[in-house]
Amino acid sequence: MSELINNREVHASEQTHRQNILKEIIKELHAGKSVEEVKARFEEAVGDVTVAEISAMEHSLMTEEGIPASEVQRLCSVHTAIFKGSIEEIHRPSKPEEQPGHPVHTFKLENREIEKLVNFRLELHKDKFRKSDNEAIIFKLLEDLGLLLDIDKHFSRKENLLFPYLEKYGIYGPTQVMWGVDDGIRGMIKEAKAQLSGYTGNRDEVVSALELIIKEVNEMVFKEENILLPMALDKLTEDEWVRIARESSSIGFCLAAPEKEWVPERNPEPGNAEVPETADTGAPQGFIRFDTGILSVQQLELIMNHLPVDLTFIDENDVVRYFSHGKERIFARTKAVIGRTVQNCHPPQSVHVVEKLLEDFKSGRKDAEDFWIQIKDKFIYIRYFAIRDKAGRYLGTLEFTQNIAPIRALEGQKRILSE
Amino acid sequence: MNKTLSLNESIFDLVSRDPEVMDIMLELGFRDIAKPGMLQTAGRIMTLAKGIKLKKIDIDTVKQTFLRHGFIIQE
Repeated sequence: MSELINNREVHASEQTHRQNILKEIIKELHAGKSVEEVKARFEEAVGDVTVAEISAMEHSLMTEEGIPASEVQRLCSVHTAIFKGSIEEIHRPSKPEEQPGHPVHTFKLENREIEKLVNFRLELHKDKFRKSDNEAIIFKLLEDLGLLLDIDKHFSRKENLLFPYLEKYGIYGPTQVMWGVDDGIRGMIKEAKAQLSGYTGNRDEVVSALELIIKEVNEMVFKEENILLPMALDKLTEDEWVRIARESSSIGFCLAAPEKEWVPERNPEPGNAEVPETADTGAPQGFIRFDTGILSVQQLELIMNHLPVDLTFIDENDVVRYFSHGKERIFARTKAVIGRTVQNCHPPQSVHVVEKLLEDFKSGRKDAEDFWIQIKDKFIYIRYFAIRDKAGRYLGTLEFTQNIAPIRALEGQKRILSE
Repeated sequence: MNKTLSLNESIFDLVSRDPEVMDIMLELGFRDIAKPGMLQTAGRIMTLAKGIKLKKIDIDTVKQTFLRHGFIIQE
């Protein structure tokens, strides 16, 4: 049941330790020991070393130990003689985010495809459309926009997998703003599609809608790569990236997918080579006693996941505590939402609806609220129930989502078993 | 006496050193920087150079506006 280790910290302390050894060795050299003598000790104590470490060490020799720069430079050739073998043997890519499968690598991979789509195809088709708004080009544009709608998955991973971690580190403002812009872009693409599929000759309007999409998408790519991702790389631990990578496929990818699963190079730590699937692999094997029976934890979990509905439960503090994980979830949920407040799991534009609903539940004004929406061939029935204890105290809200299209389609009766 | 700014320093550093930079940036149309939490987070990653590129603001306009407020921008 080992908690995941914060590799960043482990790594940092190890580096300082290594640097101390390196410094000692250099000082010994300085004091007149032979290269051969220290070389053995170096190999034994340090193993391999990065160029960055050497320069950091040389810097601290100068600043902390007061060894003059000219002296350090004179020692440089000696350093090289010692370090040569080991530096060359390092082939580890210096940045994990450049390894295929790392969530940042995947986000950037998708961004390259998104750029190609908007800056070449969509741009080209838009120009053609401006010249002649014939049916063939409208079809091409619809196709491009259909592909571009896939950006939803890219955005969803950002919003549902990456933002929760940033929020954990106290970063709210930029994520909320970006989520709003994401929704704007989603809306614009859908709007443009609608305009084109029911094209009424409003050519200029369509062209400017397309131009706006191209501009906004490009800006979003820029913001992600120059602000969001560097900021996230700065804050998140390797284990957090691993979790994001693991959960990514449950949402899906946009125009490009990671070519392989990302397995970060770990510090050689016995028994920690593999990250457990969840932090609590050794889940209690116990039983739960209800008023009306006893179930094992496993039975309970399987039951919940076999119900033909999606359940999500938030507690009295609006924190997401649980969601069922059936085969065909209607709305993607990822483990990252567990422990977040529900307000942070909805687009800023719809938060006020959520707030109002919860307020009515908490005040006792309502006990349930239903919504129903048609999405393609699914007719989705979303029900919210206030969960109260026997004394009527509010303990949370249950979201109950079901595709009732097959149920609505039932007719007549069926009284015999299917073959 | 003119103050100098670097295009590649983080907005956070620039504003911490001289809060007036924030007002000038707002005047130039960098609206997001005033949003809550932005300066502390994105502002640490964002530089003036990136902002200009992102907002597609003319570099000369930026330079002149800063100059008017007594700042010289180094490239």
